[in-house]
Amino acid sequence: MPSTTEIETVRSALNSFGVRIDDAELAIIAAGWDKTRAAVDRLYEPAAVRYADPALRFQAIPPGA
Amino acid sequence: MTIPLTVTEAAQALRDGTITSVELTRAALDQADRFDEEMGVYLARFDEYALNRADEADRELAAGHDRGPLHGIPFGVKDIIAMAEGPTTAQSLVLDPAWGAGRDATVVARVKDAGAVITGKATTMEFAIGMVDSTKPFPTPRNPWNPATWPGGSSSGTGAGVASGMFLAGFGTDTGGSIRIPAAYCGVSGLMPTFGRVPKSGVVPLGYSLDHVGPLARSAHDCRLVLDTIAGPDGVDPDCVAAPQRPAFESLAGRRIGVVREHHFPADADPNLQPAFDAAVAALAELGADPVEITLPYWEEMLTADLVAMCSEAAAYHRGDLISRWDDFFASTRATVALGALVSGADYVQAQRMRRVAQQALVQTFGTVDAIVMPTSATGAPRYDTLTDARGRIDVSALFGTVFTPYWDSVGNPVLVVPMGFTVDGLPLSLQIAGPAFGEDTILAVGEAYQGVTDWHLQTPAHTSAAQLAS
Repeated sequence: MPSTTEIETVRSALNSFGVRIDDAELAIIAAGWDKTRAAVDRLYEPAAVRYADPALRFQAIPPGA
Repeated sequence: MTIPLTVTEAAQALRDGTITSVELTRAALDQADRFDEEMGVYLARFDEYALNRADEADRELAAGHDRGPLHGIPFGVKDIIAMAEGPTTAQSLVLDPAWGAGRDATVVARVKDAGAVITGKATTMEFAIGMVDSTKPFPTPRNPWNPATWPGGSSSGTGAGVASGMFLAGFGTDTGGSIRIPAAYCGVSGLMPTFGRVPKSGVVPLGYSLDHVGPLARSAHDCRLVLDTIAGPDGVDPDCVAAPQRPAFESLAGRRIGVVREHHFPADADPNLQPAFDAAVAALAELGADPVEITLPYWEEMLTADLVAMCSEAAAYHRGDLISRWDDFFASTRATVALGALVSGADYVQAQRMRRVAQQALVQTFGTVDAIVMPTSATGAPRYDTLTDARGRIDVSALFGTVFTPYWDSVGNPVLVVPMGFTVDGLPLSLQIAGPAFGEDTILAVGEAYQGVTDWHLQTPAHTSAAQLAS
């Protein structure tokens, strides 16, 4: 079962996104959220990533133009 | 008359005059007539179109107009890929029916030009992410090796279709493992090309920066034949580049093969996994390769990066429909895509920064080895009843610890999967062969060499084998 904090965090984020769902489905989505959030936070930890360039690039000329 | 198992054999038989494309296609359609109601391979069949195309192929070949190895070959297309002959549904009630209507995806146009006989659109997970939802009006894809089990996904129908002889090759897409997982569970080969090797134009996106289009077929060589047909820029997909192949090698003699065990042998792995993997490594060594134990850099980070990038990109694509048509999505689609609403824009960019770091670390790794091998999954195909949650819905999250594919989507390197044995329950086990970016020739050479001394890829499931020897 997700914690109350997990449920309220996920509910708030989904509401901001524009989605409102029932408590049963919210519990499914919120289950394990803290663990996922911790994994996302670890993406900021490796020293090598501190000044890394993202795998994203904008092109001034759009595709096909 | 024996129906060939592989594209390679069928192409030769067509040219030898021992079979016609119409006979091949009828045999494939017969398999669908017999087994598809149970197997759930097709969302749409194009029987009349396929037989007309097959007849055309026979006439062209007889006249000396040879379009290449796919000419006259029955071929399946995952239903997130546009094809003019029918609608694209993404196995969803939500996708606008006008999407892709009357148009061919670049890869479809290319195999059509090569003379392939497309027999229909194959089942997928909803939008390539949502597990089967029995409340929605779509077939449940099943595994020919045991219909009580899942064929894998999201290219479910393509994997099951090749394994059951409903076509000889087909298209899948791979964002977290969706070519490699069904190929593994169904006991066939599958190739996720390098990101940017094959254009994604005309494919419903899941993760823009992660999606790969590629083939599933019986053999590594069959995958090569399809890749050679579909690779290269189309002027539409900005990610697709005209990268040259790295130099191929003629034999494995002296080639260094990285062997990855860390993270790939969990406690609940099938008992046959370790001996099957060891035997595969030994087979490569007997072919002259030099196995070297290695670890993969940033393993955990790349699994997270795949999840963050995929869900963020999918949430952006689906937001409007999620707000207005939440209940029309499969339950697991909306639960997974919703994760994209829970992470921040900064998290998304950080995932993309971390992907760059891991890519660079892997370049160093591939400076010391020519290819890397590891299991595709710790187990065989799971039974559907083990994937059902307390509310009776299919929950795929239980698989996350036993499937070893998303790392490679995050870094974008090509990966070939080939069968390497069977579980204690007689379900296929699979070997991943990863290469450097744009090193498809290398991994295909490893796979072809391996399949030259093993026959796991030629094993067929007894459940659907009746028509394989049609006479």
